Amino acid sequence: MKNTLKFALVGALLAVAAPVASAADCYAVSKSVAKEIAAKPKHVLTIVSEQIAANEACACEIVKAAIVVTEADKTLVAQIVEQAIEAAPKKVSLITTCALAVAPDAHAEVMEVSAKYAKGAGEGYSAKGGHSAKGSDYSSKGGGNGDGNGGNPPSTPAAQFGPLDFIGGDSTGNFSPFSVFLPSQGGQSSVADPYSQP
Amino acid sequence: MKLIKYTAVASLLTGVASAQGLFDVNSNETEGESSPLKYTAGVAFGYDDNVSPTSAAAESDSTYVRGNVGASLVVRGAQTSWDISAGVGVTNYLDDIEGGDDTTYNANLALNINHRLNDRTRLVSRNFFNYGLDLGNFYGPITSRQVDEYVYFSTDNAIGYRWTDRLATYTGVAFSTLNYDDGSQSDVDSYSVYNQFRYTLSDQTVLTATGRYTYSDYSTGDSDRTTASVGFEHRLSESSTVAFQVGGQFGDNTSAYANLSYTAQINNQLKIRTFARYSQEDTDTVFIDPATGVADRYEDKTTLRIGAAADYTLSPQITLTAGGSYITSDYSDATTLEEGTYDLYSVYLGATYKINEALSVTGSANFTDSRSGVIPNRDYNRRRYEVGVNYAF
Repeated sequence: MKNTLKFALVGALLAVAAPVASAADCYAVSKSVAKEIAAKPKHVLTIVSEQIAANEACACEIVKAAIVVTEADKTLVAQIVEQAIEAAPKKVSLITTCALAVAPDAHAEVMEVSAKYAKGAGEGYSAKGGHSAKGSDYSSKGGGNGDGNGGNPPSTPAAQFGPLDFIGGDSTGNFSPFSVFLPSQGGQSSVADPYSQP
Repeated sequence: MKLIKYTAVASLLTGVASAQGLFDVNSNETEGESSPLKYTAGVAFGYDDNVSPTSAAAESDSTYVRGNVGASLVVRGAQTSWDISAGVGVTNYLDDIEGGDDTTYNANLALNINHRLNDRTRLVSRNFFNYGLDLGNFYGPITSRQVDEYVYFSTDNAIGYRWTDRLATYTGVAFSTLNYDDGSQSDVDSYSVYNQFRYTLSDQTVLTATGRYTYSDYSTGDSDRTTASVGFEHRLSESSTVAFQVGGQFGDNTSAYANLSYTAQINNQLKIRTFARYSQEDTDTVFIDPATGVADRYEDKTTLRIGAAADYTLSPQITLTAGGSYITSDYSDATTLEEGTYDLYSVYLGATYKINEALSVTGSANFTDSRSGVIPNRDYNRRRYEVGVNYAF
């Protein structure tokens, strides 16, 4: 009985994987970028620019890799973001969000760069921001870019904030911080906890 | 038959995911960004000084070898966001275990979906399946490691509607089941319906008011309760949030209810998360009465869970994690079992050294102190030490 379950779950796992192998490209690109930057840290801006120009769909992963590998200070984070946006001007919000994810300390610097390029970038998310009558929630006119990155997220969580958005789960408001896995019995929902098996 | 049912559910969830073109899996639903499909494989070697602590047998210590494989994917899109993670593992204890198996298996599958039907309407679905001896001291429905493997499955599906710019509701149904391999009388199915009103006070704050009705079906009876709570979700800064709910639970028993969550990315290196909850719970309420040898159920179990964890990135290669939790449960209203309290303290220390983008080495220590003078087989200590190698690709 246990064996049946074991093999069925392995099968299920493989079923997830099979049709989507190609999507791992950005992971491979980010690894390659990290290796290249680690070898030539002084050329990080050039590498970012060239790699994003060649792999625009992987802009997020490239920016994050560059910041992490160089252990960038706030100034360098802003420079990386600027270089990335110049290479992929339509991905201002995505690049901004990804940079902030790994370098929240550089929020002011990143947002300054982002604001400079945000106007006229033509991204899916409205720049109306805040809690305006039409801008408080997702706009169906914007949306996914079809490149596998799942669309351009907002430049800041507050930019598209509405009552349907949760605060405290993931930064884009998809899930509540409170348990949905274990709504009536157990604790928190995150599986990635330190209290793991065995 | 039940095995087939749960296996089918797991396969179905996976199938749905594939049909939607999922290409990315990640076990951490707190991810705010897309993350490509990642596979992991790992082996670990460890020592456990009390392998089967809740069995009536004498303590057994053992070294063990564990292997696991997994996959994770996160897709955060403008219209649809979802994430999925799956993993299977096997642990082999190298010494004979009193009151337990020498080999244990575990598997889990998590799938979360948030789909925006239009400007005003959203569908949110969260699903979780686990098979094994324990989900984890703190987060699982069962606080202690069990003697037999069990299946835990939970699904929660809600539709959200924005009535005005500031007011929205989430209305949902939830189901969870706990089912032991040995046909234990601890099995329980729970059904819930709920509605949450959400009012946007500002760009940083949402007020909430929630009503939930839960019906739980045990092999030995049933119970129901209504939970009413009010609270808020608040963004303290760009990188820290707090959410709180307080209320009451009414039904077969009446008690207070509270839920608190706080997370903060302090800086590039340090992230902390805390959680507290006071609530009636339906699981882990059936025990064999040592005096009679007959299973008996506590009809009232109220639990306080407090936990905190911190991740510190020492360098791009080294991440340290530390966490601790305290869980205390008051048990009452059993037929023959004596009323009592059960306290569980846990401390976790861990470190990960990233050799390169794919390969990492981990080490961890886990200490558990379980205290109860009344609840059978819950007075024990347990220490686990483990080193492992993980490969991600």
